[in-house]
Amino acid sequence: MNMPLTDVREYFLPTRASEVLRLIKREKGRCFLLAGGTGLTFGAPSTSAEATALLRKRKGVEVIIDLSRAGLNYVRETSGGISIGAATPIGELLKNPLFSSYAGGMVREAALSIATTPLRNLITAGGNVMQVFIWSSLPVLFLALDARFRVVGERNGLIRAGEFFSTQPRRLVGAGSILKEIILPAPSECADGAFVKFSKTETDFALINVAVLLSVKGGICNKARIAIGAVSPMPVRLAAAEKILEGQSLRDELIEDAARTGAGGISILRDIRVSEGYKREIIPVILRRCLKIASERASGDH
Amino acid sequence: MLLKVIINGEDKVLTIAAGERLLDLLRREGYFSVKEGCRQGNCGACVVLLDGRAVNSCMVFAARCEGREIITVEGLGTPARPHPLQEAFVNAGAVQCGYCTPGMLLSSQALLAENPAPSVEEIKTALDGNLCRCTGYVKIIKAVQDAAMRMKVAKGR
Repeated sequence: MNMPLTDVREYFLPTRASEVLRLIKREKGRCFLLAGGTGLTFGAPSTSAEATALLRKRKGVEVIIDLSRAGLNYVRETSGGISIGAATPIGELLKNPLFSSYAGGMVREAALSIATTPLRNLITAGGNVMQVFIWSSLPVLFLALDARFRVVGERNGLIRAGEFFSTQPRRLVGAGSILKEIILPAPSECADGAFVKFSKTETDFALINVAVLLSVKGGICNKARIAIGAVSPMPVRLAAAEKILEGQSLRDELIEDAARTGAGGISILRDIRVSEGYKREIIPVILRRCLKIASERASGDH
Repeated sequence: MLLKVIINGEDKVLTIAAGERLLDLLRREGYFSVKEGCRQGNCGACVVLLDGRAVNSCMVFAARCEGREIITVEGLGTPARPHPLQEAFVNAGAVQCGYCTPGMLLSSQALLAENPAPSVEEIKTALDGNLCRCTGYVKIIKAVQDAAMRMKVAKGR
């Protein structure tokens, strides 16, 4: 945070989700829901003109509702899958033994791709998906895992990943509701997968994020889920590439074909760090790399 | 508003503004080991331990810390009785200008508390949020390894 929020007059630490919803209703239009808080820095000013603009934007935020004690910090294994509370820090996902082998370790790989150790102790699973930045890792992971998102409040129920990331989830969920938890498929239903982040340095924002989930039985791939992020504003599934793999034996040429086909259909958003031509060249390489790792894991070659 | 918090083992009741950062509060209260660097969670100079976890205090609202425990370097050791990590950093020459050192020490302390014998890779990951712009990381990593050994020996006695 570049500066303290000077208009804030009250700070609430509700201890249950129902209390959060009651506060949102009461403080409508004046409150700010705080998850990890690290996203507050984006749009932070580097010039005095930007600082003035930011202060104007923040004016009116009088109440902070902090979600860190609202009973939303948990990872639970249930019959329906694995539930991750929305306010669970990324660092806790890394420490949880449930994820050490789940889906080939792709949850761990995605979690480790996010920021740095002290930031991972702040950034939450819910915060990472409710406000999608182009480089965000978990939306790509959750798309490939076909996760479900439990929303409570004015809107209640489960939203599938495809719909959840069809627009900014904050808009979809609405101001009167909150994300309660993210539900991943049960480990037994799950195939093996991989997550690959490509960036200039290990802790830099991603240039490309790829998540792949493959189920292989008797040498034949019966399910393929491929998601890509950091190239377009929202992460996307690569359905044409998935179709190429399903029902087939995962030979190198087929993986190459899927990577090329997947890369072909992507519209690339301008990135100040690298040219569009570079990204177009590198996308099939990262897709192939991630597909290879997932395929080796799914075929038991690891 | 009032904040009840434990800083370096001491119970405190402090008056804070609702939108105030933990970094500003700690420095106002005289914990000058906590440094302001980038102000956006990139450099790690302001790292403190919050309930044992390393966090960037520039990214945390002070009000979030109600009832929780904060450790700064002032709570790690004293000049007369330095913590094994502090001794190891001095002996290995892992300090140059010193600005990043408090954050390095606390990130290392959080690591060793959970993992008394970390690999070089694990040390690198634990310190990936702490930037040193003077020299490099070789001596810092060596210092953490040395401290791990010292702490293991001390525990075994």
